[in-house]
Amino acid sequence: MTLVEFYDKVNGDYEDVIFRFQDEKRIMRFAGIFLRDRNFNQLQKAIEERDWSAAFRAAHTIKGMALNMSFTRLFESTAALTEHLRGGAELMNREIYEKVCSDYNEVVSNLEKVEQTED
Amino acid sequence: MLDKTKNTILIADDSEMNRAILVDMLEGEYNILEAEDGKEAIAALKKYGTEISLLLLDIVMPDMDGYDVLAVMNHNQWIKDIPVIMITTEVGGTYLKRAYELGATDFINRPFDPQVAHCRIANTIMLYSKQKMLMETVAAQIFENEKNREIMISILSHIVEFRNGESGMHVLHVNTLTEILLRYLLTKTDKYPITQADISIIRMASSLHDIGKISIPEDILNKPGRLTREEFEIMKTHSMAGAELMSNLKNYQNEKLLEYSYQICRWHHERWDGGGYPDGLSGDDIPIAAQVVSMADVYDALTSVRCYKDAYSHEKAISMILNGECGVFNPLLLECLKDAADRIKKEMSEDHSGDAGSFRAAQRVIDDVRNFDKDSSLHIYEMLSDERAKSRFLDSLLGGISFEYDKGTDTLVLTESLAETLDVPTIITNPRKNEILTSWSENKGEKIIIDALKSTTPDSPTVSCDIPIRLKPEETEEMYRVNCFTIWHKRSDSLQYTRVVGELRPIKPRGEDITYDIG
Repeated sequence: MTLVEFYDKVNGDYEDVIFRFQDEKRIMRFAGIFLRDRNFNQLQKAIEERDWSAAFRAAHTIKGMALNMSFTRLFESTAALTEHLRGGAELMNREIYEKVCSDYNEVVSNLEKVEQTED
Repeated sequence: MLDKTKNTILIADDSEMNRAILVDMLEGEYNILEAEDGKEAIAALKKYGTEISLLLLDIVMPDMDGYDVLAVMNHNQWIKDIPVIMITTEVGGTYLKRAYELGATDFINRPFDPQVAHCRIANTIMLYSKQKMLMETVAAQIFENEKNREIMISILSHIVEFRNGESGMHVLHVNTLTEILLRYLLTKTDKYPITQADISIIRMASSLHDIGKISIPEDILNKPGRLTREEFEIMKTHSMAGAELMSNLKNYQNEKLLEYSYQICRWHHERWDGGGYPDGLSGDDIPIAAQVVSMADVYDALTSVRCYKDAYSHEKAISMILNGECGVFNPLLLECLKDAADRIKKEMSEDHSGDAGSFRAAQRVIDDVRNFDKDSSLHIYEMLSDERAKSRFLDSLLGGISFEYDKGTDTLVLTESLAETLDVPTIITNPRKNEILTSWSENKGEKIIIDALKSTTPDSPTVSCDIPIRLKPEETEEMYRVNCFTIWHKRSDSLQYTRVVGELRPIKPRGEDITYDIG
């Protein structure tokens, strides 16, 4: 899968990300950091343990990464979750969280396909 | 170790990706330090201080967030010297406002265009370093000007004293006493319109109180015995003569320095009860500057040896003035003298180089700038006074700093004790061409020192070497240890040492060598 196809698939903004980072190698380097990042696991753990402020921080960081990478769909769902949890508020609407999980997994699985193509 | 030719940026963000994007954008041009949370950021600020030119700070971080970091920076006053740019995905107005209130310089929102962000970062660093440089330049110039002014005035006043056969210390003592008394007076009353700035002017003007004595014939001035009535009348004309000198300077009549000098020259022998000369003024008709200098003059006369008397102790002099045995003074000033007695005793026993006053003048201007714009204040004065304190401390250690060499002016400055030991002047220009210095070791020592200095670097600025010196042709060569510390600055794109400070001490034969090294 090419990077352009990937961004199309996950509803990202390829034009924006290539404008900011200039070349695809750099984008893939940061994508590698995204794949290694542990914040999604921390989010899952925090939701399970009902540690809402830890959940907020993890969601916030994923939102930031999604912004950096122009993963527009993931950004939108994490932004919704971040606002939902802001100020240590309890997760009342599980759908919001589940949307983040599916968007995140979509990005990760497709990104791995791009990496395999590159190798 | 940080590369000293580059500015250093601290990035504080818990997200690895955020840091990586910033590092990618900034590395090469800057030294980069990374902190994964607020605590690490504070630790780095503590460790590197103002070596850090800029902090890029995230808001949401575990344990200690960006606001906490700003609060600590405020508490420690770091925020005055280190600019902070917040980098965040938060866009709400309250977030912005709170960070600005805590002293953040700028905001960059994610996702950012790296080129634009890069320019904003570079501009912030440049503005801060320019401002810092300007403050340093201004402070250095004020210090220099004040020092030169003080030197000029002490030259003038010393002309009088040397003609008078006095030590030259009298004027310095009157300066110090005048300043102390005025400071105490200001805490007691606001009835005299004197500002902090006036104090330093009056202090300076007090140097000139006896300038009129240049018109007194030398045989009267230096007469060992008691003056006759006629001679005393001539002597008394010195106050009016000094005042006339001042009023003849047509160009500066509106200057406070001249106004105070006039008052001090003319009326420093008036008495509170009207029994003084030349005008017989009484009470507060005598300008306060003259009243204060009059008291300072009397105190120093009492505590000094004169051809007709021994020196009285500090305690005796204070009690004689308080008991009215040496003139009549303003009761408020007597109170000041009483309150300030301990301070006077302490300061009179200390070294009174003109530098102290110059530093105070530089400090005053810096304080004014600070009060004008609190955010722009820098720690220049602290820096200057720290340096001064440091060198005083080192001076006071046995075998402390004994010489300082300035490359730009090719000038070697020795401490008085070292100059005395070596029988050379304290200031030597073009030392490598100085006959006395070169005769000591037929240029061998010079080469050893220069080679040693060449081995220093900004990261390893100290070096020691041993040189043979023959102080007098008939004496044998002795080995001396030279310990040098080089101070590095950027000159035309490369780092060079511009100053060398160091000490020189004889290497004693084994067994006798007592080490004075501290730390």
